[in-house]
Amino acid sequence: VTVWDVLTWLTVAVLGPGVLVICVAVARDVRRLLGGGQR
Amino acid sequence: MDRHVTQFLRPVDLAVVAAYLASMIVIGVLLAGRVKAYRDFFLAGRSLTTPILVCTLVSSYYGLDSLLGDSGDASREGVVVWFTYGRPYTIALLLTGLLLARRLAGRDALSLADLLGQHYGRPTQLAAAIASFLYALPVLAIMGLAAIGEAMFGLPLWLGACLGSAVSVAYVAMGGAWADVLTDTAQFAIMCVSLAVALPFILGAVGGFAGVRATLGEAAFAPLGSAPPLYTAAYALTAVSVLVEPLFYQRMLAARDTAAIRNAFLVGLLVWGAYDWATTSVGMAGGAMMATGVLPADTPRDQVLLRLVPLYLPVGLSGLFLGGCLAAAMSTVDSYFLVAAGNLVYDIYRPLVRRNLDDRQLIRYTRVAMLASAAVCVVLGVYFERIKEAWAFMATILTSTLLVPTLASLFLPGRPVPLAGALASWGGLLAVLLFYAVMHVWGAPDLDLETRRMDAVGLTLLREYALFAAVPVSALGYAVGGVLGRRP
Repeated sequence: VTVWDVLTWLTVAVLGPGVLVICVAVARDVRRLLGGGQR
Repeated sequence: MDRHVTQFLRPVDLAVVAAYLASMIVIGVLLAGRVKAYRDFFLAGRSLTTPILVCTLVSSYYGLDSLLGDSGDASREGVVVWFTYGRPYTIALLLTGLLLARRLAGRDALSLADLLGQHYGRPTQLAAAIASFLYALPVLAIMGLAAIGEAMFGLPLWLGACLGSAVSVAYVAMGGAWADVLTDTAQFAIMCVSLAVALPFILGAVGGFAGVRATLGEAAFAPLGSAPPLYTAAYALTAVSVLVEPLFYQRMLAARDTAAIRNAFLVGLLVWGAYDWATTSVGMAGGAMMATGVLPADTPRDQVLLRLVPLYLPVGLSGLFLGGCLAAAMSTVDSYFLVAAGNLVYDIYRPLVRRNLDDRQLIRYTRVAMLASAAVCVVLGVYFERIKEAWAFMATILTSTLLVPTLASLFLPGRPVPLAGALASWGGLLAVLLFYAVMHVWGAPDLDLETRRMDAVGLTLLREYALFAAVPVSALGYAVGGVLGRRP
């Protein structure tokens, strides 16, 4: 295992699962801001 | 038509792309009725949170030039693209998120030009708006869309440029900044996830980094590369433009608060870094394939990635990846059209021609200005062969015109001096135009570096050195204006 391999695993983790977590947070914020999720 | 791409596309791939385009339009339609005030239209009601800012900053700032351009450079030069060319931008982005964002807190402006106009007055706002408008025209991204249209569907370049512009303008013109940032979120997800999925397939096809090293040699893994240090340093200095990037100011002014901006840049840096490494490593894999004959040795560098994808990605994922290419381009195009149209209407037309425009008129005029900007882009894109040169010119104009007055307005204490802002901005702008004109008239083509050069008083000047002359002129203008214009 080289430093390049580790960098690549981190990259896939950020661009895959990491990005999807951010998008879920966006969906939550948008629902709140645009009125759909207001209590 | 590019048969390397189209012959592997299946109906399901095309359906994925069509679904993506349709969903962008639907978002615009759904949000069209929500926009009433101009601040809602242009700044999404100043309510953007950290996650929303991450998506819109990353997807808008990174377009096809990052995806196809950087992977093409990496296929030739290796990891230097990630280390030496990319990381100076990390420093500039960090400074923007940590320092500039704090200084913008509480400012009631709509754009960078508006910010400078409030500080220095109308002449500075006008120079800033002209520079910002020229820079914000997304000519490169439009040409990228045209190239994808040609590669995927065999469309003529002009038609691809028109269709790409039309779709991008349509949803932002309907829904304004909200449509822009929401489509940016979808585009952010598609462009990042598609690259994350493609990376293992493409890297695995050449035997990982061991295979790349065996083919391209140790030189491909030298972080500083093999280019002359001055050339590398000049390239790294282009990162300064981040500090006056109009898109970042528009987004920061639309943010809910300073903490949201800071956190968005910190998270965004991780994503930008990862995206850069993904493009660098797939580019290196492409370079290895060119060296071993899997790809033709004469493959244009900026098409390496497009050629690899249909060869190594399964059915459906190829469509996802091409959707990711479209997303990367369109997220840039829509955001910059909004910024350019805002410059035209709010920063140029309104102060000069009609000061009493109400919100409905401002929104209507901005929509028209987006269409006009798109038309200018298509014409520039179709008729200018060397788009990268045009972009370098625009970026030089932006930095030379705005860097000194912007940083001075945000960081220097004391009362603003209108003459200092005016001389700094117009001085920088005119210095760039003069430098380019001199190089055009008295310079000679440099075929190796694909630019113009001129030998004078024992120095070799390249056209790219305009920044080194124009920024000092701008700083001098600021100093002179500060002395002459100070009120007793």
